[in-house]
Amino acid sequence: MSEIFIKIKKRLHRHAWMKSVVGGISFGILLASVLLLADKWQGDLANVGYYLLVGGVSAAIVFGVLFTFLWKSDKRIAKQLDETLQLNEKVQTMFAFEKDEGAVAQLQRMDAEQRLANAPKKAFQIKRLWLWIVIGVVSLATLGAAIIVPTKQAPPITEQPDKDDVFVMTVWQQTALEDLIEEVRKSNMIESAKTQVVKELEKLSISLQTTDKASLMKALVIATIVTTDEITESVNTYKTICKTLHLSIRADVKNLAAAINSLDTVKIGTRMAEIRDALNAEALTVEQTKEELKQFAEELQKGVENSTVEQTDVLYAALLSTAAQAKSLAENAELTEKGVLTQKVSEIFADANRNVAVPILQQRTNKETRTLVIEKLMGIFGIDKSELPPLSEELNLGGGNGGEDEEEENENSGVNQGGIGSGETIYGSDDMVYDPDTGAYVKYGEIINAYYAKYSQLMIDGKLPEDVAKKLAEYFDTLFNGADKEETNNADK
Amino acid sequence: MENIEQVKQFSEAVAKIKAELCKDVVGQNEIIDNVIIAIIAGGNVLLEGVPGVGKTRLVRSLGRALSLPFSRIQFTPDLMPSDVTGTNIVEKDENGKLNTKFRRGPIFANLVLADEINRATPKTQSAMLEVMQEHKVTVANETYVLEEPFFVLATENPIEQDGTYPLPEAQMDRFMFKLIMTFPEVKELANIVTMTQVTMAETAEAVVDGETILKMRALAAGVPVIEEVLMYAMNLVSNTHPELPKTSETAKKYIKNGASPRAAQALITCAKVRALINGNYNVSYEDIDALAAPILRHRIKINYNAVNEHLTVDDVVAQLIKENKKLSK
Repeated sequence: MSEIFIKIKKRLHRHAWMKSVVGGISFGILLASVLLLADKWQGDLANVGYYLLVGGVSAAIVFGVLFTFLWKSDKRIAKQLDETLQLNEKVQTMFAFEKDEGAVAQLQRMDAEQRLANAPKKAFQIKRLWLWIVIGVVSLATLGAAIIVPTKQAPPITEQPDKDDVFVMTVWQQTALEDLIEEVRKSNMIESAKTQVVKELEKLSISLQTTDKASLMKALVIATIVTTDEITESVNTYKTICKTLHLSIRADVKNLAAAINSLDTVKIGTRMAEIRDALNAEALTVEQTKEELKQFAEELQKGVENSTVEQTDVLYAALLSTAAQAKSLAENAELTEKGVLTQKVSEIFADANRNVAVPILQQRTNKETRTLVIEKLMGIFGIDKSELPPLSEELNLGGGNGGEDEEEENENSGVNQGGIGSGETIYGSDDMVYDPDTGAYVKYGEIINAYYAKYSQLMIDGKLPEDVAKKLAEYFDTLFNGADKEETNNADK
Repeated sequence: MENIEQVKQFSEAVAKIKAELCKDVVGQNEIIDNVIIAIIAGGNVLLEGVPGVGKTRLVRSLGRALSLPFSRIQFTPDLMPSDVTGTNIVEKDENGKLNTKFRRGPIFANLVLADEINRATPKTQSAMLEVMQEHKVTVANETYVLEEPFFVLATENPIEQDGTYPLPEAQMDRFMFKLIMTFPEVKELANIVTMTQVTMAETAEAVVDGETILKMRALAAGVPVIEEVLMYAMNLVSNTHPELPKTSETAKKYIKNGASPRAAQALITCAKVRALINGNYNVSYEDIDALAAPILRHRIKINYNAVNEHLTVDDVVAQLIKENKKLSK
């Protein structure tokens, strides 16, 4: 092969190497630098090895591609030379016929070599060298920038508000809350508690109008619920009293505690009647009755006094009054006649029933209002029961029905569970009657309770004329105390 | 050294021929170059041009410069084949015996000028076919080989349609080149008039002989052609055929009939000569492109589309060359 051609070929191959190396390395540096810059911008730098690996691999790939493209075979070099130097296929012919011994072929080779030798040197220089220099410079500059530019500090992670934690009080909610406030105002809750509860509800209404977060809304509502519960607990003393009463050694006192705890005046009446009947049992002598009465009174007194309730509390006073009356009767040495004793005992328990009923009804109303407020707030604002903290617990002192045995006994004796009275004396029935308040048919025994509650409230409010109050008192007294009372009354008459 | 000397002599001979021809023919340099190429390549040339542009004069001068026996055949409608080839005649010898003797026709020359060949009848034209192709004459079962080098330079007058017989394709194919002599430019016309005012006679002198031409032909045959250039030329000829599956768009659109394989042979043969004349020792794409028109224009027939678009054969050949260049890249 022509020496000049070989020389040129070697030069062109060198150029191919150089371009491939520069191109590959530049690309690798550029890519790694761009990645580094991007990571620094995001404040998330990777390991140095990562950038080296990326740059190295990309450089190798680009080198390979460029080299494959730029490396030319002898034939392609010959063609390139003919085109570049405008030699009209002389070099290609020289290359193709290098072994031809013909006269013209030899001349052709000589001519081609001569022309190659006379070709200007710049014809074999790297074309667009400036472009390769620029590529190299740009890649190095990018690398420099990537190294110099500091890593952006990642912004502190702030808790993004939950998109769902948006609260806007609806008109319905506003109205429902106002209705609830009005309902509480009109309720029979004890005034001191009612005022506080209404105040809490009004405060809640105002606060919710400026609340825009659901979480805050829930917190406010739950706080109101808890406060309502606490207010109610502070005015309802029955649990406190019943807790200590239930510690008594006497079963009748325990049962009475359970009945009071149920806030059911019917049950209380029934327990009172039972105690009365037990004390008035014919089998007992006067002395025995007095002894029993005394023990009952002492236990009752002890249980009430041991509670932490204020002495001004109505229920406290009523029970203590009953205990005092019973004790006084028991200690009346002049009372020796059984009949008189029985009557006195009945009077005491009738009074007790009446006296206890009032505060029981009040505290039941308090509790019902408290329940109403809690349930309505939960319903209006979508508070789930599981979201509430532990509220005041119910005191579990048993059914207050005298235990399961009594219930069973009642069943066995054929005595209806409904109705007022106990044992063989029933003053109410299970007949279903219409309840105008609810519009439903309920057991007559339940109606009596509701009527007595209404009577009691009216008495509390002082809205009954004296004569009407007296009549109703006699009516309910007869109702609760049954035929004995009637007979006593008739006897008195 | 010998090689260089041969090439030097080749170049000198060509230069001399050209110089002598230019004495008698003003302008028409391309025509002169192509005629020289054809003669060295061993091909026949068809000269076309209006009367008075120097067709006959060129051939006469060529005959003088090549110092080759020259004959002129003026074709007329009544010219018989035997008028061209020759015929047997009966002759009385010294002893008075009657013998038949072949009287050679004007075709028996090295350089034959077939003037207005398209005026001859097809029968007479066909008599030329054998001679032009095979360089021999057969008369009465006797074959007479013509002396080499043998050239036929025919002229055609395109405007005289009356009383002319278009040359058949078979005969056209035997002409290596078809050269069109155009009306001279004003300056050239002035020079012609000035020259012919002195004398109308050709003044070219003999500078080469037949043997030199044959040597030049042999030398040119050795000019190398690379595969790419060869295929380029082959594609050019192949792309003149519209019926081929892989052909050019130009052929599909404008050509009715394509060129024969003689065109491909002519391209390469003449390209070698052209290269050598231009001082190159290899055939290049440029040589092929330069010779495409004279070699193809009389071998391809354009269709109605080309006529409708006012395209000449040369325009179509130019498009073929352009398309071939694109395809070769």
